[in-house]
Amino acid sequence: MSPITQRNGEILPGLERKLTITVSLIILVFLFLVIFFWKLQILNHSRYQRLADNNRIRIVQMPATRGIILDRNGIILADSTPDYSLAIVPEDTERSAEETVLALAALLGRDGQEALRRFREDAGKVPYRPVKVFQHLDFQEVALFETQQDHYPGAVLLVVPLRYYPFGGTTSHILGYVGEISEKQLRTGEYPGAKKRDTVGKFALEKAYDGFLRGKDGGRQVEVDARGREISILGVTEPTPGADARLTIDIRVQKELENAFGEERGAGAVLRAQTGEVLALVSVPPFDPNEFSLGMTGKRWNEILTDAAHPLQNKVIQGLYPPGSTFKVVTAITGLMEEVIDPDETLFCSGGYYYGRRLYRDWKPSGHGVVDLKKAIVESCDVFFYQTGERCGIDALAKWGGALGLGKKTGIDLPGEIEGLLPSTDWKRRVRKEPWFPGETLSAAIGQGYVLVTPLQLCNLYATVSRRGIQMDPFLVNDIVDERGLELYRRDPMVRREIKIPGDVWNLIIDALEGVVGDPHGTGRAARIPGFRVAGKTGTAQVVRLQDVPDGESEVPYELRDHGWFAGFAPVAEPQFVAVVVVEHGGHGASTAAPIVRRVLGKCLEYYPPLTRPGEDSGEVR
Amino acid sequence: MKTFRKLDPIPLLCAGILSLGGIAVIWSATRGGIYADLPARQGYWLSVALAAFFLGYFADRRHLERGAYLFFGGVLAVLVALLAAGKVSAGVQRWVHFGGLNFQPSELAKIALILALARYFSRIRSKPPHGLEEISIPLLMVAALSLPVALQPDLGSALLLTLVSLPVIFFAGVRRSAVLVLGLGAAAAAPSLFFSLKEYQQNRILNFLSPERDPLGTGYHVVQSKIAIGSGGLVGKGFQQGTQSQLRFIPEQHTDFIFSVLAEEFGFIGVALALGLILFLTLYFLGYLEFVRTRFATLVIIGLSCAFAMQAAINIAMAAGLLPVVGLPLPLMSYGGSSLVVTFLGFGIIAGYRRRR
Repeated sequence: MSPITQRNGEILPGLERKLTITVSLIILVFLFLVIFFWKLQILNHSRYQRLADNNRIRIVQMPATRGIILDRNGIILADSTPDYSLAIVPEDTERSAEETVLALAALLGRDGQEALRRFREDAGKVPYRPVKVFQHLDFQEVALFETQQDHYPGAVLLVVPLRYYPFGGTTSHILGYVGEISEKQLRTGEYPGAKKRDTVGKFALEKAYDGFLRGKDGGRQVEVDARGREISILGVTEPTPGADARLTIDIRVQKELENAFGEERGAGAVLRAQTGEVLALVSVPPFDPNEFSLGMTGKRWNEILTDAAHPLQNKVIQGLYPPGSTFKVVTAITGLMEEVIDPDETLFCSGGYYYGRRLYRDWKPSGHGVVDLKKAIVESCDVFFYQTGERCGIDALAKWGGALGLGKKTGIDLPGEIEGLLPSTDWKRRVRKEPWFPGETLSAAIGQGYVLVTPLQLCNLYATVSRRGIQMDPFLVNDIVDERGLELYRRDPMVRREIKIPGDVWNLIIDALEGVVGDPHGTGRAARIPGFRVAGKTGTAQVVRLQDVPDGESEVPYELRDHGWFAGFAPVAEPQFVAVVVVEHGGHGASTAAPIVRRVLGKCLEYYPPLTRPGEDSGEVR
Repeated sequence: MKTFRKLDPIPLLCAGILSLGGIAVIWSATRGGIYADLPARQGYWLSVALAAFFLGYFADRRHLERGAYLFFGGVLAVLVALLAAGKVSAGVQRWVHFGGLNFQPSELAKIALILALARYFSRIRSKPPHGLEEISIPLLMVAALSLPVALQPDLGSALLLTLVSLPVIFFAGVRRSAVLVLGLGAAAAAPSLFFSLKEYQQNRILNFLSPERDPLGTGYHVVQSKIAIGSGGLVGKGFQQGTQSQLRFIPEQHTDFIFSVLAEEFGFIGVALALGLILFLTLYFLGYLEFVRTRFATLVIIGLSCAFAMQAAINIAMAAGLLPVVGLPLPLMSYGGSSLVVTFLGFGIIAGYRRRR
């Protein structure tokens, strides 16, 4: 008996037996490990030595294809095309890597120094990783390289999916652009799952839906020979392509709207009144998203950033403009709902209105004479609405303007939308630290002064009016379907709210808006479409006060000229399409914006004819 | 009284060789990178670890036994508090920060668990072998510590905690029927346990079962580790000459995969030496059972020695691709202060039993 059992036998029964088992087990495990390492290090040494010799195992990235983006009719708006790059694996070159770079530059007829600069920037960070030296090879360059490949060991052709936007600038503010993820974006984690050097959506829908569109990279684990050529594949993880998105946009309507702007700048949007689908969304000037996909120089990027026309700003959701007379529907609804004006009440317009000691002018110096509410809207009489606004007070205007969706985001699925400004006494005290002056209410009543809207807000407002108080959420992405056909996302039209306003108030307002286009004296006659009943409202937003502008419009410098608005919808009986256009510094909305709305609404009615024949579309307004 | 003069130098010598060798390998593995200051920091930790050794060595044996539950409760409280803090900051929380040092309390949980189990079995009234009723409390202790660690989430350490309790329970004596019931219970619980894991943890297990599932991630790392080991050959490529490690092909090469670097640079000779030292140290410690007469001391020595051997074997098997990669340091050699200090503390506690002849 060993001393262990003698001393501990009574403490723990079977101690010696258990100890024998345990010690043998431990020795066995360690013996097994020794044998296993013998096998790895001695018996299989030559095989692992060969693999370790300039490490023969490589990971070849297989980047995921970004999901395509389609318009509502299936036309491709954003595609993924193969792009060829030539890369160098410095460890695999026979000559020095830099000599190889220069030799390849000579072969392709490209700038050797520029390639060398790129190479030095990226080389030597991770062993055996191909360093991209020449990007965007054309077909001839690819063919040339492939025939000469054997003379350039260490050079490899990489195929990378490249974003391509067939319609270029036309869809720029809707789709945005893609680019390499920045260090900061990697750190903040705003793109979950993205790795260094990944291409991510950086703007607009490409950014908002990046998680769906990006997909997941795969790769091959391969064994290569001493020259870096693959000799066997050890394992493959297939990339998961990004999912495809179908938009609400109709590219035909989109192009029509863009073309209608001609040389002018501004913004416009077309909504389907019944659903809130965005059919077209244009901000002029556009930018070229393909330029971003190809990668641009810092100089070019600065040029775009400092361009006075702000091409990267999406004016539809980020442009702030005084709504001008298009705001008068808000004043009219407020006046009727607060019961401070009567539908039959008449006022006299002499071309101006004294409030206190200040004269508030009408746009028509000779005045409109005797006006009731309908005539005031049809002819856009300022004096009538100065007085309506005065009676309502700014807070009532803010209340009804807010109910109609001004001063807050519409909730469209584009990043970066801004709220606009709907002033109130409370706002002015809070933000400006000043009391509200009653005279400012008069300016606000005709959409001047502090009131600021985005074109999309105004478009949604007129959609709400056309639907008699039903406010929809505007949206751009209909559905997203992955490569197996599985629906990952579907957007159904959503009613944001229903504004309780009696039917006879809507009848009055819509009748007046139809008069704007249809009446002989209406300001929106330029928006008439033969065969359809169109309603709308013109607007002219002052950039500077009327008094400050010298007479004769041609003398006014461009940047001080008024913005021209038109908001319209059709057909009146059962509204289908709502369009709002602002032409920056375009002067009167009647002459600049209304014809654009006519063109685009006309196209909508042509592409999507209402179920009722045009001739029948003359029934009672429901 | 215990004194320095009565100290058995052999365990300290073996542990010293292994940790100094560890620092050399860490040096090689981090050379020229962003972690180049780690060998110096590990050297600093080694001096702290030496102090921990003597803390364990000089600790009064009666206090060790009486304070076992208190220690257990303290560690449990810290683990739960960490978990609560982690819930707030929505991240992995396995560190306690004090005075500029970071400490991983899950390391300490090993010692706390072994001491608490030893104390429980040393005071139990019924005679071994024990049935389900008697071992239900020890099992609860294991679960109480493993669960917060698993939720950190640190699956490797949680599994290790469960494993190190097994030798203690085995030596304390368990009825065959209880073993059978528990085995069946564990087999039944395994699937639901698997599905409660985080996706990346599930993937690791699946990837181990079939490495071709993920040739780019874990599978790639294991392949690279094996290439490093295999290419080391008999005598290795030489200190700081390992191509795999110097080119950073080995993942976590200064922590979990330190053994691969050792194998590449010092070859089979280095491997056999390290394995031999670890085995020798374990058996040498088990030899201390000769000096003790209480159940508590017996179970503590067995628990601590086996914990050391098990963790080392698991880590090495992991580097060789024999076990799934769960993220466990190699005791004494991997970079990491908590592991080093706690290992030395455990050795100190064992060494403290030698004197009582």
